[in-house]
Formats: sequence, structure tokens, C-alpha cells
Amino acid sequence: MEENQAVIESNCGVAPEGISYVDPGNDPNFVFANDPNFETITLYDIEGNVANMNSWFECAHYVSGGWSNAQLINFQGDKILFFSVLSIAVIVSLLYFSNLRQKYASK
Amino acid sequence: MQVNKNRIALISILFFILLLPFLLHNSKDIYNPLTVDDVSIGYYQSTTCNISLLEVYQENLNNQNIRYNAHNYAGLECYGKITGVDKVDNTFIVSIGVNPSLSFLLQIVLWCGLLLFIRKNEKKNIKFNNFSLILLPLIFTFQQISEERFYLSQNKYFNPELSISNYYLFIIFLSIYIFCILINKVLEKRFAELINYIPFTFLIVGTFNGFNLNFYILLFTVLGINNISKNGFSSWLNKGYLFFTFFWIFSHKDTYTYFDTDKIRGFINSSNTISSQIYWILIIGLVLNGFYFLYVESEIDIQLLVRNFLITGTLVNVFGFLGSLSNLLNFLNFYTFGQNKYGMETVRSIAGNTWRGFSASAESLGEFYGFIILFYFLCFYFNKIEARFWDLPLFVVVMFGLYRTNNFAAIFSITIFVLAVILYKKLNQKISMRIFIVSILTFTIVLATFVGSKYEYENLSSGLLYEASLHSNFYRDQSNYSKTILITKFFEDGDLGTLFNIENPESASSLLRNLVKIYTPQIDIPLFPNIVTIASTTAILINRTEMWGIFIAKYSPSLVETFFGNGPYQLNNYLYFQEVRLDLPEEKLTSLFLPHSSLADLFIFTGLIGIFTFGYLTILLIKKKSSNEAFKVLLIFLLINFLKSDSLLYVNSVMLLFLAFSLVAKDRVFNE
Repeated sequence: MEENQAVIESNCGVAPEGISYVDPGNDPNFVFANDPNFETITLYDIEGNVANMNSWFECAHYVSGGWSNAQLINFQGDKILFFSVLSIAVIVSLLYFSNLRQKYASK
Repeated sequence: MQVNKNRIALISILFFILLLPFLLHNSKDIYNPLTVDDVSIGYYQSTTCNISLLEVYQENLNNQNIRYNAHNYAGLECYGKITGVDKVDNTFIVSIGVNPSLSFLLQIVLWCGLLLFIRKNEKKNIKFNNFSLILLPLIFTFQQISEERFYLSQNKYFNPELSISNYYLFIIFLSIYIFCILINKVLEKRFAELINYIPFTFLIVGTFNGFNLNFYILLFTVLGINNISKNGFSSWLNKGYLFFTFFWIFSHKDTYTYFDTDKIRGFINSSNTISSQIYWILIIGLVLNGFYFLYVESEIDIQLLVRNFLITGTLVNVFGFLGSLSNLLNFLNFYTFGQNKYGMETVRSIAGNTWRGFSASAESLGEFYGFIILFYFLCFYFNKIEARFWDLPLFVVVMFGLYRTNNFAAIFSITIFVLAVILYKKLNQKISMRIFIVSILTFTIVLATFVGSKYEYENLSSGLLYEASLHSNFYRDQSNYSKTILITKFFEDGDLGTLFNIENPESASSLLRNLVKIYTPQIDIPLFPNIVTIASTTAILINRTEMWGIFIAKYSPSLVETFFGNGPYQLNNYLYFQEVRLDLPEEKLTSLFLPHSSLADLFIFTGLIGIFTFGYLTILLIKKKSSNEAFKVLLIFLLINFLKSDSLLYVNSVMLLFLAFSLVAKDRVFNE
């Protein structure tokens, strides 16, 4: 599948010559052969688990299974959200309390 | 209704902000959406958090085998994006990342924004107390810690630690703070009119995504604090509540049970810890004060109220159908209206719950539709409103909605009440109210006797106890079939003493054992009806034997709990304390078995004293001469229907009941 190929390439690089990805299936005895020419790539799953890939084929297999080189777990969404909410709270407070003060002043 | 264009523009912007994360995507990236099928599942699994909901929807416009599901346990980076696809039977479940921390803020802003549609009341300005700006954020942040087990599974950022680097708790605190400011500002000139918009609680359900919290509970706690600050704490309501609190804390069982909240999320205690017990006692106390505050300060406008009921009833129909026609709208209904469950997926009538999503149960929505019909009839019949051309189509849609709820009890009771009201008005000059009520009761008893005549007396009187026994943990070493045969034999022989005390000592719940004692009294008082016989006959006649039987088998209160209950919205002891062996098909064993009676719910929460207090106050109110006598029919209609439904567990139904009480108790109602 073309789209899958693009995703694999974006994570693992272009396939070495003569190698293409074919799903090895559910064979429990299947062993990924190391490729000494392949520069180790670290992949992460959505829960933040880490795996080092020692061949392009192994990398392609993991990427097909949902792993990625983008470490989503490091994305500090809560920190970003906190500062966004804090900013909104400050703005809303300023508007609210300045409005209150105006009201009291007008009275 | 005059609608300000600026307001429409504002609401459009709010909706746009709410939906924006589902639309955003980079169309030039390498992650292209594909048709969802068996082949593309792997692709979607490997491109998580990269493809937006909009992209997938556009690519799968004609694909009917898709269901979009909110995936709460996803980070902010996945908000509005596909986090996975799975195939269940023939349906592809497309998970959409909807992190609760962000959706909480967005839903607060949207729903507070919708309050801007409430008509301003220039004569009545309420100055809200700013104390809520600090107190409520503290209380609701405390909920996160007290109901840790619930939130742990809902949000990947959840962290109960009290530390300066815990952004999660600060986000909650600040979001509630923003909510309080918005409410203080928005309701300043609108508060007096708020009661007229209660019908809309059936459209905007208000349960925050991934939270055991409801928008209206938040709102009423703000009002509660204002009531206390304005009228003081020393009202009879607060004193009585404090009295109950003492027993709730005193009898509390600190056990590690956990209720996943299911369809009543937002309005139920998920945990059985002392901290969650304190939280819910505090919250419900404030909500009750909030109700009182709204009752005192509000101005009911019948014309507006009737119109809002008709509009809401129609909109629930419209959005319900749209949701059933489009899988995307179904998801968006869930998200924007704050539903507890996803809406129905087919336009076909489903036995059980046709309006699932907008209501936790078809019964409560049946009561809502029934209320609208009866309310409209009473207002029209007693010339409280002017009928308009548009009322007719809206009324027809509401009637259709009621028909689709399959709520026979609501349909039947409306018919009886309408006939009774017409008859009473015709006979008004000739007979007194007392004679009329006695006649109606006699007619009901005769009708019940006629219907019940096909059953044997013994079956009628002990049917409930028999059903409860079947679901009890009797004869542990026997199969359900053998258990049934043995129990049936004892009931046929009338030998309940042997069944409960010799064959299965201490196996039945305390409630069942006490009911058996009441059913088989040592001293028989002639002509005094046995309360178990009455309950059992009623259960059989209204088809509640199985559900009430399960309730009796499951609930085993201690002495203090019998009189004072387990605490507000605390079902843990009912659900998990007593060991039972339900005599049901295997696929039903893991279902949620609620008591199916608001009276039983009230008994679990407040015990016998709570029931008697509520009953006494209600009778006092009904007996008291009111300027709105006709609305007593509405209150009685709701109370009767509540007896056979769990509506007390649903926020919007409780608010409807509050409205019915207000209609009767309020001295002055406009547009009369």
C-alpha cells in the first residue's frame, strides 16, 4: 500500500536496495536479522514504550504496527494547556474585576 | 423570540472553537486518509495522531459501517485526530482523541456561552458573591483526588499529587475558576429568568467529557454558595442536612469498591472512600441550596416556559434523528451536548431506549415528553397561555417523541390525568375536591383489582419476595435451576421461615429478611393492609417485579443506613456489598442493575427518615392552597412516574421535578 510505504519511509528511511517490506505474519520463530549498515533508529509506541531498530525491515514492521519515531510521550500537552488556561484566566479576571471596579466607581 | 445577531455570531464562534480541533490538518503531509476497511486498519494504527476526523469523514462519506468514538486517554497532541481503528463485528470503530483536560475548558466556554441566550431581566440584578471563585475550584479539584480511580482511567495527564509541578490539577482549578467568573458575569442580569430555561437541560445534557461532573451541578453549586452568603447557613434545610451528614459520615464503610458510573456519569459517587463521601455531601448540600436560591429569586413566565418545552422536545427529536442518520453527527451530539452515552444508531424504534444519548433512560425522556404534553394541556385548558400557530407542529413532534420512548406508564398516566382534569372541571360546581379524589382512587383500586384478578392472591402478595429470593445467594452449591425449584416449593408451602432461617441462614440481604418479617407478622392486625402485599401487588401490576426483586436481593443496609441511608448519590454499598446470585441469562449478569424506583434510590441515599421527610413536605405542599392549583397535577404526574423509574439519578429529571415543585409553590406566576 502506497500510503503505508510513505509512512514507513518517513520513519525508517528509504528501503535498502533489494529489500521490500512483506508482513512476516504471526510466526513466533521469526527473527529480525541485524543489518550492520543500518543506523539504529529508536521507535516509540503511543504509550511511550521504546524499541531500537537494527534493520530497515524490522523498523518497517514496527512502524506498520503503530510505532513511530515521534516520541509523543515527550509532548508536554499538560504544560502547554496549563499556560494557555492560565493566560485565559488572567485575561478573564482582569476583565471581570476591572468591570466590577467600574461599577462600584459609578455608584 | 428576538435573537440578537451578535449573540448568534458569538455562539457560532464558540461552536467553531469547539469543533476546530476536529477540522485542523495538514493536507500536504504524508498522512493521507484512506477508506476505512479491513486493509487500512493497520495503516491507521501506524499513523496515530496525524489524521484529523474531518479528513477521515470526507474519505468515508458513504461508509455506513463506521462509528466514531471518543478516546479520552489520548494526549493533547492527538486532540481531534484518529488514534486508532478497530473492527468489532462488522463495524469499524474509529477512535478520536479527545483529551478531557482540554474538552473540559472548551465545553465550559460553550455551555456558559449558551447561557447568553437567556433573556435579560432588567428589573432584577443579582450580585454574585466572589467567594465561589476560590471555594469551588478548591472543591472540584479535591474531587479529582477523592475519585482517583475514576479519573485515573480517563485522562493520561491525571496526577493526584499535590505538587507545584502538577499541571493537571492546576488546569482543573483554573478551568473551574474561569467557569465561576463566566457564570457570575453571564447570569448577573439573567438569573431571574434561568428557571424558564430548565427544559433545555434535556437537550444539553451537560456531562463533561471524561469527568464525573455535570455542568448543571457546577452551576447550582455557584448558586448554593450565593444562597448561603445571602441567607445564611441556619435554614432548616441546612440544619436537617447537617443532621443527616453526621450519620452518613458515622456509618460510612471505607471499602475499596468502585462504580464506573456508566450512564449516570456526572451525578453519582464513583468511589466509596471517606474523601469522596465528603465531596458528594458537600456538593449535594450546595446544590440543594442552589435550588432554594433559584426558587426564591426566579420569576416563572408560563408562556416562555411552555414555548421552551416545545422547542426542546422538538430539538431532541431532530438531533436524535440526525444522529441516527449520520455517524459523524452522532459523535458530535455526544461531544457538544455532553451526553453520557452515544445516541441511537438507527431510526428504527428500539425497545428499551429509543432516545439513548439525550437521556440515560427512555423512561425519563418519556416523563419529560409526558410533562410537556400535560403542561401544555393544563395551560391551554385553564387559559394560562395563548395558543399559537407554531405550537401545533411542535406539539405533534413532542407526541411522536413520547410514542417513541415506549413509556406506557407515562402515556397511560397522562390520559388518566387529562380525563380527570376535564371531568373535575365539568363537575366543579357539583362535588368537592375530596369526593373527586376519593372517586378517582376507588376507580383505580377497582381497575387494579380487575387486572390483578387473573393472579392468585398468594402470588400477588408474595411475588416480590419470591423474585428477590430467586436472585439471592441461596443454595450456593446448587444450580440456578435447582435453586428455583427449591425456593418455589417453600413459597408454595408458605414456609418462608424454613427457607430463610434454616435452609439459608444469613444468605439473604437484611432488606429481604426484614420484608419477610413484615410479611409474616407475629400479630395480624385485621383490615390493616400489609405493606409488602401492597408493594408486591403494585410491582406485579406495573411489571416491576424482577427489577424491584433484584433491588431487594442486593440491598443490605445496616440499622443506621436503614434510617439515614448511605449518603447522597452513593450507590457503592447497594451495588457491591451484598453477595447475590442473579437468576438471569448469562449475557445480562454484568449489566447495571439500578433499583428502578426513585423511592428506592431515595431510600439508599437518605433512608426511611429521608423518605418520610420528603413525603411529609410533599403532602404539605400539595394540601396547601396554591394560586396554581392546576400545576399540582403536573407534580403528582411526575411523582407517580418517578416511583417506577430511576429518574432521581438523572440531573435533568431532578431539575424537572424541582420545576414542578416551584410551579406549585411559587405564589406568583406570570402570564396568568
